[in-house]
Amino acid sequence: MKHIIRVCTCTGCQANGSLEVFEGLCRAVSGRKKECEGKGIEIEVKETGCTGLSETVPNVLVEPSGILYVNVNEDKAERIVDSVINNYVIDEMLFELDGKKYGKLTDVPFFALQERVLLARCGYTTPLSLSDYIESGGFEGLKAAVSMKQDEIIDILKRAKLRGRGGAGFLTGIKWRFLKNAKGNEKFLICNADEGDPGAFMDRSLLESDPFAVLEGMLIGAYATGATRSFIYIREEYPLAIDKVKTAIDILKENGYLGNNVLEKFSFDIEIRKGAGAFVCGEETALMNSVEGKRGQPRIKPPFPAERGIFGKPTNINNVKTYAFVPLILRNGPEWFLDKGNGKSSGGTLLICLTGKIRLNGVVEVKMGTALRKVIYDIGGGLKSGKRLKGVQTGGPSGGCIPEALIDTEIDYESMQELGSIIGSGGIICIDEDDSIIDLCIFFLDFLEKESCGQCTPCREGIIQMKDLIIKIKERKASEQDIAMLEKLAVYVRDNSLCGLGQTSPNVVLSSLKYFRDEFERRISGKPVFKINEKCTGCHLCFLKCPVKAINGSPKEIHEIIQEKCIGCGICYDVCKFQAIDKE
Amino acid sequence: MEKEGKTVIAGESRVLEMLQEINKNEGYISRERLSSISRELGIPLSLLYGLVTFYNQFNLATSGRYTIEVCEGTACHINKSSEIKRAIKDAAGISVDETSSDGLFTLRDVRCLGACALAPVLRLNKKIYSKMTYEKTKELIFKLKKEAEGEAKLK
Ligand SMILES: Cc1cc2nc3c(=O)[nH]c(=O)nc-3n(C[C@H](O)[C@H](O)[C@H](O)COP(=O)(O)O)c2cc1C
Ligand code: SF4
Ligand code: SF4
Ligand code: SF4
Ligand code: FES
Ligand code: FES
Repeated sequence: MKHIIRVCTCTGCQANGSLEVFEGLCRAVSGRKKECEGKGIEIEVKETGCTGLSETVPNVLVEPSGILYVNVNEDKAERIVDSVINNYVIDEMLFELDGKKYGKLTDVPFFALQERVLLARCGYTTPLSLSDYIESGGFEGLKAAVSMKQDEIIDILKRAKLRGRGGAGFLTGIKWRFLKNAKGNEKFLICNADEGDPGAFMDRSLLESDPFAVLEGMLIGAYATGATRSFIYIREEYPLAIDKVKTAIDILKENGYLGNNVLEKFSFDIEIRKGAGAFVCGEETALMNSVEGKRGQPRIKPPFPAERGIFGKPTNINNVKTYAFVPLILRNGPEWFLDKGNGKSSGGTLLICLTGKIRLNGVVEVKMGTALRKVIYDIGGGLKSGKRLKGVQTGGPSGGCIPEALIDTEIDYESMQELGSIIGSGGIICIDEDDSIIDLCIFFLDFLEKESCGQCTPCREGIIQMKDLIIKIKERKASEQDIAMLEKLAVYVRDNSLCGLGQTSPNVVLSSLKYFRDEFERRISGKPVFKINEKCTGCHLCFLKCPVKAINGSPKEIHEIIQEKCIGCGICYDVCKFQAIDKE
Repeated sequence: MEKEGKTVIAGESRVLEMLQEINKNEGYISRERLSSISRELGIPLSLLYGLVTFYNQFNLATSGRYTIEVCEGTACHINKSSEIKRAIKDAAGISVDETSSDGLFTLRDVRCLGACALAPVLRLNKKIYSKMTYEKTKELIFKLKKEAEGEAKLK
């Protein structure tokens, strides 16, 4: 009987020692070769891509039994091999949640509740194995595509309602038609793998785990639009993804899938360009300037990329996930893709990076329209350390904050926008009662201030002013007018900035003011600040008397006032018998 | 730029890649380096300076023997990357963009290393260290300091 032991070797797993686990497993297997032969057992250890359950990496999957071992280290390798040879399950290495252990990967709710189509290969195939790729349906999409007319392919994408997954959500079919119809003898494609949202890493995960799928999507794009050359722009912070894509491109070239006369139908080349650590270069026209060797400053549109894009040539740009969806749609048909949506403007599934205070951090894939609650609690296991969820921040620096009260919202383009946030790249960052919304606003504005290209005034100056106003509020130096001013400024920046960075920068401010306004208003000047000093005896009286439960502390320990919750009523100050509370 | 309809990608459009290569191999880009590239490619020095100051990746000064990159992405921030920085300040005496007086450590901010699920993280010598705490960071720095002292004694 043949067994395969799979170990993820992508960035996250490597950080936790998966390469050592891989080597340990190989050593253990070769050490027991004779025994295996005697028993008629064959064991192969293989590298694989990210399962997505990054919380417990390194993860090891045994096939065909389907058993998942988590938090594996080198020392446990021998036992895993032994368990395969002697056919038993190692209980204490299984995934455990709320006292329940799970043997098979597919039984773990984190996986069972997902709808994995884009991530189908991740964890199950060897990323750079062309034969694995082909065996799992690779190039079927491309082959279907080259038997069609260009317009047929574009029509299928339109019928499937594939919306771009890079943030703006434009219909891919329409974009491809623009490029196909553009005049010019040389057309370009670009794959946007800049993944600037700090806290999202699904593009990295896909590029490392299933690079051929992304490249196949680009190949279909080339055939459908007549583009002959392309760039894939990967952020420099992802060295492993860059290496894997480089190798994948070489393999495709060697096997006739890239270069001249692909499948005897068309010619296409892909070049890699590395980002240089600028968030704004994720914006499509800034990215083009960057590839041209210039400062990554966005261009004025029109002209749109399909008319005059990179090097002045007609260009189409899509996100990593968008390209990776294309082969699947051509393989399975537009209805199949539509069925993965919720009947609104977009078909297909949604990749989400769950991070922050969530119990099970990782990459997950769900049907478009899945409720936030399901993603956070059923798949993500709720919050760490049993704290109360305060809200989620979605869409990265361009997105907004959604409070816990709206957690039943279904995630799709329309409902997220209605709430004043966006799906964006698909990052969902969970925050708990300890996290301050004001600090989060300052964090994002600080990020955007540093990343603004500085080309237009509303963005360059407006972001700084918004940040300063919020700091003023934080320090309790602001008045009611400052909040009004902040709102006005936010709307002004949104309406007058040139590119998406400036236009979306107020989202975090406006959504926070909408849903967490009391946190701002509580800090309006005039209201005193109370702080507990070292004279506190831990008598616990203030704790019992505070009307809003803004005081933390166990009896006999120094207590603490949670400033975000405190309403400044002064009751604690009055009841404390030890002068342990200062009034500022 | 156009030759028989095919765009030739050379010269100016390759300059970013060149600078990235130099930054990687030499650890930083010196003034002299910039001037010589400017002469070689006929690109104004001001333009080159504009590039290397626009992109965060480039270092314009030498770094210590170890560059510690602390992730300041959202996931790491929420999970207290500030504790990592506090530990580095306490153990090596440096803040962001500073180099320790013994020349061993330089601290830099990065915007997300894509290991957000293991936040907070830092990167040192191409290796990512996951779920870092104040204590773990301090230990790491002391270990490197000890190694360096050991080497110095051998010499
Ligand atoms: C400031 C800013 C940053 C962006 N960053 C990214 C990014 O990292 N990755 C991405 O695919 N799109 C990003 N975009 C969106 C791109 O401009 C573009 O819309 C997208 O790549 C188009 O691909 P799609 O149609 O497949 O979504 C960003 C936009 C802005 C304004
Ligand atoms: S909005 Fe900001 S990032 Fe965009 S072009 Fe203007 S200054 Fe640059
Ligand atoms: S009432 Fe005063 S002494 Fe008692 S717990 Fe509160 S602060 Fe401490
Ligand atoms: S001032 Fe009032 S609200 Fe604030 S901690 Fe004291 S009792 Fe609680
Ligand atoms: S990083 Fe390896 S499983 Fe996600
Ligand atoms: S936010 Fe730190 S690695 Fe992504």
